[in-house]
Amino acid sequence: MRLQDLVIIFIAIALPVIIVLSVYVGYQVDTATLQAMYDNKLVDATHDTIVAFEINSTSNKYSALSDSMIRDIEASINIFSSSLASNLGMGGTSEANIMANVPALLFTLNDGYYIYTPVRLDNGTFSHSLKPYVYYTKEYTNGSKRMVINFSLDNYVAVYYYDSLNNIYESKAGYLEVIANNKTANNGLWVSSNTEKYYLKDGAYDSRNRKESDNVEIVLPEEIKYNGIQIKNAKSVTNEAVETLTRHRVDYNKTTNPTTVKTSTAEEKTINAYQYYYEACQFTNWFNGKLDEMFGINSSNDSYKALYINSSNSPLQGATSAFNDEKTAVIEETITNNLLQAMSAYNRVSNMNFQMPQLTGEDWNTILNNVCVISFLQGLPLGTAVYNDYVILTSTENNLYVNEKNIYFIGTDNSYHRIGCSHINGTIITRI
Amino acid sequence: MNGETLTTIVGIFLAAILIFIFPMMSIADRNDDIAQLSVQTSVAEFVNNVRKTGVITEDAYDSLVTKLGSTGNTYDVLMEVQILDENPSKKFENVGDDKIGENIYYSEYTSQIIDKLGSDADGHKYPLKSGDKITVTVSNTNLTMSQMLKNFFYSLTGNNTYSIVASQSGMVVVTGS
Repeated sequence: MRLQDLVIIFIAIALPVIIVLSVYVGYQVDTATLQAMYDNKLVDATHDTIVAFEINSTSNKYSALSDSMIRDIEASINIFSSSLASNLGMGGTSEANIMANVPALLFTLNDGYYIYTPVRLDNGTFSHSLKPYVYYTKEYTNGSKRMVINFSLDNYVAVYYYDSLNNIYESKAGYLEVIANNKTANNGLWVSSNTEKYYLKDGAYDSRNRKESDNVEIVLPEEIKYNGIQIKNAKSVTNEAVETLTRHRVDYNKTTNPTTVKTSTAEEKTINAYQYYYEACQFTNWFNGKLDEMFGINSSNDSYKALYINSSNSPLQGATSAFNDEKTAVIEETITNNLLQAMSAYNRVSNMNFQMPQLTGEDWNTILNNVCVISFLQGLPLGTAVYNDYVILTSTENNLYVNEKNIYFIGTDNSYHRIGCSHINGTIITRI
Repeated sequence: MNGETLTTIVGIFLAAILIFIFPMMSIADRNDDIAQLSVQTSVAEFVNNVRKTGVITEDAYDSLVTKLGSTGNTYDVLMEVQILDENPSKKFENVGDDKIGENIYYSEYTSQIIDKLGSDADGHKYPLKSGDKITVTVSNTNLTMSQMLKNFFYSLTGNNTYSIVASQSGMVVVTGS
């Protein structure tokens, strides 16, 4: 056989193989390109949703009210579907067509989330709709005592306590704080263990040259009611005093009992920080007291150990503590459960076996620290595969929640400072 | 003798395909890929610029067309702006004119936008407001080298036989002037 024949035979065999391989690789490349394109479009649509949500909720002064918030979110969902449609080159198509590929749209807010997903209607069909607000909540029980805690992204919790044996029902909400038990600075406040007095440092963030006489001294009342609920050592308190305490800026010098503020200078002080800390400490005392009541003092119960606030278990956001671990677990569990339910409902409508993508640790970190929108998109053909992905985007301009990293203080040195700024020492903070 | 001639002819034919056509097709395909990338980037840049500034200017549009032209092809630029109508929609009784997603949008298209961009009275710009949406779709109108070579093997005709297409859309976030 001559060389030419061999070459032709080789080419006749190799060429089809090469062509088939190149076509296959081409398809793979197309799939990857298409996937990247869908990813981009999903990000764009979700971004538009966030922008719409931010504009809607900040320009709506009633946005904190549930009904009004639902309207804002439904409007933002309209933007999601129309934006996704125009991004995919199907502008003007009906929302139902687009939403057929969206198993769920999640708005995670400060203390709970809204989920937009197919729900079963009375006539047995499924339709996308916004489910009622779901709180980040968990029920703890011990015998006849039950406690339901609504967590939030920061150290704010709402607590419902019910003792069926003694028929006691209490509910209270507030910020949890680690109560300082000696003369240590704690967010600009410190407590004297000798006198049981709380002090607001003059120039709250200056840790140097501290003298008691320079500080704003606040003599705590022995008893107080707040929002109609007794807090610690109940005795009689006048309503006037309670009202005074709840105001933001008060001239405490004019009030005799139960609260007095002595300042080294006569000028009026802003006492927001004090008020926050004082109320938080009262609330934390009540909270810890309820836990003691429920599980017994120094209980070895896991829930007790996770929830009881002390110097080694800080409820503050970002702290590594059992409380925050518990909160994270609760938030993850409520979101995951509801998503799985949504996916199951979606699968019954779409007759497609859609599996929920696994949210990574980094995703959870984002969700736990921000107001987010999470969008899922699936079922779009990719050539050799089917698209299935999600996008998490965070909202930084809303009136629901502010991450402490986004807070700036204005000091007397006419500079802006962040929390933990090294130049903050010696500067009196005038306002946020 | 006949068999040998046939082999030689088949050989020459194969050689021609392998030596000339395949590399050319491959290069032409890559060319289209590069053009596609460049077009996609330019369109995304244009749309994002409009979203961030809230206005379509003649300069920005000309710059987009120039960038597209630099890929060596001719393109059809289709623009659509969806304008947030501030008339309250019938669905809600107390709708606010600043709420996004509840109100009706009406669209204006390429020719209307181009008219305004070219008009002295309008200051050669097309202002948008926060909440409006813009979609730009670009596709090639000429036959690219890759398409011509493909026509060599199989015919590719008709109106929608573009091989380079890019589309970008988004919501305007600031009110431009």
